[in-house]
Amino acid sequence: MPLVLIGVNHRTTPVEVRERLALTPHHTVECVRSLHALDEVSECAILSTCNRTEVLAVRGEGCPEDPSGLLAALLDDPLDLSPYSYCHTDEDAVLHLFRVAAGLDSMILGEGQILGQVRSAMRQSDEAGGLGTVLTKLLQWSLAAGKRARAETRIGTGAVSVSSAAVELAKEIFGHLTGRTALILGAGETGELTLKLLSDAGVSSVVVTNRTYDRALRLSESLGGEAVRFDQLRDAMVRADIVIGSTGAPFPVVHADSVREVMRRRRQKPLFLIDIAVPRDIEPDVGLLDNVFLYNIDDLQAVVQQNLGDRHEEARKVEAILEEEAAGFLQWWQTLSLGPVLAGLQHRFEEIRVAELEKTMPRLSHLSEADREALELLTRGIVKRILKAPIAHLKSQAGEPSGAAYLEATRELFGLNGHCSRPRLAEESEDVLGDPREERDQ
Amino acid sequence: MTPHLLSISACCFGVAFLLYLLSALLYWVNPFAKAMEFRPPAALLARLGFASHTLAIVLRSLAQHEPPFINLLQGASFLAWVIVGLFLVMDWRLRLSGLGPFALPTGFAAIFLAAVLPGRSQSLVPALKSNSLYIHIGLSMLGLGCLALAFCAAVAYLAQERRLKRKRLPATLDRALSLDQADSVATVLVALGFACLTFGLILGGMAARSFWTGLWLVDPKVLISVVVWLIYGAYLYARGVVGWRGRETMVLIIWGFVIMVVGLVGVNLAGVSRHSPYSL
Repeated sequence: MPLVLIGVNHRTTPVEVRERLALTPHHTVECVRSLHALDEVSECAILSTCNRTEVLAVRGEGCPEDPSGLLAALLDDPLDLSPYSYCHTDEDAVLHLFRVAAGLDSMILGEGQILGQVRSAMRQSDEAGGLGTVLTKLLQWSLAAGKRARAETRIGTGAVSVSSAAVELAKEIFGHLTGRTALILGAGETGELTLKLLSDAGVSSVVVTNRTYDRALRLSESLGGEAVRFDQLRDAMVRADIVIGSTGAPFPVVHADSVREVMRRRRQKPLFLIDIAVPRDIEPDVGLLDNVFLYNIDDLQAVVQQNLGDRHEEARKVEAILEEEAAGFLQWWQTLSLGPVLAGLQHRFEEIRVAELEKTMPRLSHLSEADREALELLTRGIVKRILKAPIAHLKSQAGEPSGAAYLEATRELFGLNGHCSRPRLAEESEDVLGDPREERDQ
Repeated sequence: MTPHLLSISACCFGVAFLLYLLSALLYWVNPFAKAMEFRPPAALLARLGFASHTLAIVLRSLAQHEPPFINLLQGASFLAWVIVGLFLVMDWRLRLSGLGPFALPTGFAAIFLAAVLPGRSQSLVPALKSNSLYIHIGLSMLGLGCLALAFCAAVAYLAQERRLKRKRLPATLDRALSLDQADSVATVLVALGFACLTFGLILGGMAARSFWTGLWLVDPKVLISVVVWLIYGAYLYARGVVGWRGRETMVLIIWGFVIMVVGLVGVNLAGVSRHSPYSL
């Protein structure tokens, strides 16, 4: 089969090289267009994300054995990509693409963005006219396989970053986060990120406090919340459901005594404290109080590690699913190539029959019109009978692993390679494939 | 016809018993399962068991021309039916599958009691057969069922709280009730149970005045009911009016239920109540 996938990714290639191959959507369309214009490429798609750039192509006539030129063509200045790039063909290429789509090849195992990226790659390549029957089907299949892997396994579940782990834990305490209040102390980067994720998950009001009130004001503007003076921290904590400690203070700023008072004032309503500052912002003893749940950066890291471990276990199940899907695609592809072979076979036999008949007819001029008709029918019948068993066998093998070998052998034995690509025959192939029941009824 | 109905009813009861047991087991297999999710099949078994149980109860009532909670056996069976039924409705409407590992074992415990307790064919003495008494028993049983499920939610709360405190993460398959969910479920159930219990007690008092002579208020079962009523009343006041939250309120619910169960069972075993020893 003529499928080839060549690319670089975060595992094989340093960022200095990857960035030279990274394409904007607009650029991708152009590149697909120029690759597709080449004679040796009959279909072409490009997937370019920050972690990978891959060219997927169906080879046409006269494509060189070494397809590395396809990837090098994306470079502005020449560079030897051979130490970095990998190249897969046929089954391996299908499986590789499916693994990419399922997130098994991603930097963070099982991340879900890649599905969207594959979808846009498909759209861009289609816009550029690079997709034909095979690649359209292959890319759609990869999206379906990726979705199936995510639906049937836990490859995409569980938080794998400190901030998302904090959000997951908040959900364990509060259920949905709609209408909750989050309070952030200070302005660490992870703190802000966590706050953003919490807002995405439904947290509606945000309160910001800082040693210097001006800074709190500025922060609250950028985060879309309300600023509170640091000496009113306790009041703010009474109102909040989630508190994020993210200051640069060299010592704890939230003490057990004050939290005890806060808990009394909030009538023991559960309070979730996330301390992502180092050194810590919240005294560890606070975690011993009833109805207070304190998680520091190490606790959150432990959660992340556990989830990553789970994902690695799930990856094995995903591999099995993807192999199944790849087999499904290859089977489809084989039935696609069955049509032209059968049509070619029939065409070849018809050619021979007509040629032989034409050669013999002049010598049989004494025959009546009716006899000639009978001879014509006889030869047609012979050809049909001869072909019946092999065609039935080829059809029955179409879905089997040995199907490809049979097709190849048929092509070789009857010299069909010239015939199969003739467009007229592709139309005929529809009749040949026809309804399998007809074959049996005859 | 009647013996026929009764034997079908007994069969259905047996099926429900088995299905509840299997469902409870499946709910508890779930946290240890890595490869597959056991909650949907557990819920399915519970639903089938509930259907079979419903049939058993309806057939028995038809055969005996009596409400299905007159004696101890039927009472425990009816209680199991209320617990599982309430849980299934809540799971269906509110997706509370995290309550299953607590609700199904409780439901099974009740149906187990129904299977092993004495009092097979006891009925009320004819003089006591009155609608107000039926409603008194029915409401009390309904209240008891709500409070049993509230107890389950409170236990679920404490389990989840413990897990969060110890920073031990749930296996991803084992989605527990969030603290907030468990808290609201428990509160709603206590409110419901409390209302049933209140009306049940009032009707019981009215019935007692017409059937019993003397100081019926000092009957041990009445006293326990009043104490339990006060505990749950206190909880509702603290939670609803003062806005008190957290683990202590859940502990209060658990104590209320434990006192109620231990008290009722103790009184029944000691036989010191003027309530029938063969009823809850």
